Amino acid sequence: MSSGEEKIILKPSTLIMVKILIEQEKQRFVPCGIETEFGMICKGTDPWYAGRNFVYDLAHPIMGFDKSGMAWDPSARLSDQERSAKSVPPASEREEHEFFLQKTWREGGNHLLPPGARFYDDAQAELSTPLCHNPNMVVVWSRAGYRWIDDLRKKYQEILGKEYRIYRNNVAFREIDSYAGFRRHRVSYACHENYTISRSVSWETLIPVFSSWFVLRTPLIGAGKVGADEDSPWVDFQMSQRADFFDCLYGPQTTANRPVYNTRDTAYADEALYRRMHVITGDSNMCELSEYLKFGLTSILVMMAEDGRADSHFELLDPVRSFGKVSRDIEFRELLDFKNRRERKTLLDCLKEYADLFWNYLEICQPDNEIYKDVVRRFYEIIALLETRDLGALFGKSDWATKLFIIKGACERKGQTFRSDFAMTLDRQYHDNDHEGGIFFRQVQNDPLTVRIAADEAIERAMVEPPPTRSRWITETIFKFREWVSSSDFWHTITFFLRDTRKIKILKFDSPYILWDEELAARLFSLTLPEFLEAVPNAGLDAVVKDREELIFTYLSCRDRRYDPDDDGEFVQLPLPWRL
Amino acid sequence: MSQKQVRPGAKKEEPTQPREHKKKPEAAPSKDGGAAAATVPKGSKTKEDLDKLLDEVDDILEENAEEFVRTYVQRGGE
Repeated sequence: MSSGEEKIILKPSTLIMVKILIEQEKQRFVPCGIETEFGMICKGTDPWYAGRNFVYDLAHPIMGFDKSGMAWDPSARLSDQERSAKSVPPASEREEHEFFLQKTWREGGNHLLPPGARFYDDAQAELSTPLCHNPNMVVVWSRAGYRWIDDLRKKYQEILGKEYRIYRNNVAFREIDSYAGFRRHRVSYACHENYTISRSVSWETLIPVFSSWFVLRTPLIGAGKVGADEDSPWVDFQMSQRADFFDCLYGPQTTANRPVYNTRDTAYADEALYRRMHVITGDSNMCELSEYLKFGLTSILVMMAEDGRADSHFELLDPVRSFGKVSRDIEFRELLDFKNRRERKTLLDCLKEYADLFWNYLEICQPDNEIYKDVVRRFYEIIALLETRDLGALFGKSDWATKLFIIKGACERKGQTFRSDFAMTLDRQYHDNDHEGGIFFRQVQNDPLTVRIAADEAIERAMVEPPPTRSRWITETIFKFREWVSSSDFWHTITFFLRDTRKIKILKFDSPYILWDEELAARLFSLTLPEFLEAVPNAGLDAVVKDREELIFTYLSCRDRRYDPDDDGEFVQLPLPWRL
Repeated sequence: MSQKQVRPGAKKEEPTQPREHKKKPEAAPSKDGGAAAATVPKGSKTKEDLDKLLDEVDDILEENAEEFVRTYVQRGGE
């Protein structure tokens, strides 16, 4: 920052983060990650159970996974902070999540994968990436996760003869009205984003600033959908898969009465310093660029909010109604109404303003942060392409535009309408996670016009290696001391039961900002578990170890073998070389 | 709405609203010092590209779209 410019006063929690990063000579970043729910069907299986079976059958001895069920405390899903944001009876939320305590779920419904990803049953089969530090990392480790799911699908076919079809989309029918012969009522499942944000950013900032951003970013991240849902009038095509399913501005719900701003914020970190912003509006993205922009731009807005530089300029008059309106505005002609300004703006005008805002912020506050500056450069380029309204030019850069390009052309060729089963089949087949079979992977992924963010070699490595973040510390600790691990949430806390002394120890890595350190890890993991628990709180990892009186969950083990994609069926131990 | 804190005595900062398009990113210079290189590939799909793509899409679609659609039901999630 040049002299004469105003000094930026950062809030204390931001100062802690920045201090860690300056000491590490790294640029500022926002810890983040994705939770993806998959649609799954299996030949010969009731579709309602296909996803559940896919997760639980991994515990089948022939599949080579050890029982890796981890105990999960459902009360950790809710914190005092989120309860105070909106009045919801906590008891009903607890009941909804009590299946996490069941032995069957713990033994087979929740798996820790080698790269620190979590794969589990939560109504739909769900995959969480390990904790990442920037949008590049998110794309690499999310793609590695999607490869995992596809490789497991192939294993099921080879080993158990089960033919799964897996979709990374966000809508399906709940049931078929067999009498009328028509489909009734679609359901939705999600692709959630998570961002660490300072606890000092208030709800009064978070809700208006981010609810508007989640709506207005739709042209960048929408996966596109044929039709409409939840009693909305029919539309041939809209940009967002999820928009029709949102009913209110804010709240903690995720499966009904969905809010544009979800107030679940259990930090999985020091709750006094950090909040986890839990975002449920986004679609699952096949295009890597969409995922990159989604995480990169939202992270910039997170940093702006932490620095007190995000205001209510973009606050929409009615974000819930605007979400549906924006989703249908594929020509970008509609005018939007704002709370704090009289002038109405089109969607593209809003995106241009956001781009300028993000760029100016980075130039002033983080001029050397090339990771996020790259995101904004690409943002400007995509806006320019959106302005052309040329779907062919957006091919491979935007899921909704690519999908519309394909479906429109195919329907014209076949003389079909968007109301046909043919159009709906194309919509879903675009999202087929079969890396050799789906429309995206065969027709789009390797096209010259498609923007790739993650190198294939990086994705291969990410299938067996956690990112150099807190997730690597958690994963390596669990694998190293697995005989004594009683439970873990895989993000923050590990509970150990030391049988010889009958002691229960809780280890918490309280900061989502810690970096993996190979040398430190070598020293710490050469210790016995009691020595490790003595040493780790003083190792500069923001870790605390506490005693606990009551042991709730007594059974646990986890995988002691690593996945080798070239193997014939036996999972083998792999070394973990590490290179940045 | 919170404003960025300022040093005592400094002028109060105006709200952080986007101004006119100033300070947009300069495009990254190319290695030979010539025209800037875009990060996103230029070009658009032609009709021939589309026809070829649709020929391939035909191969991977289920024969009976109605049956395919009927069988895809899910519980729903978050």
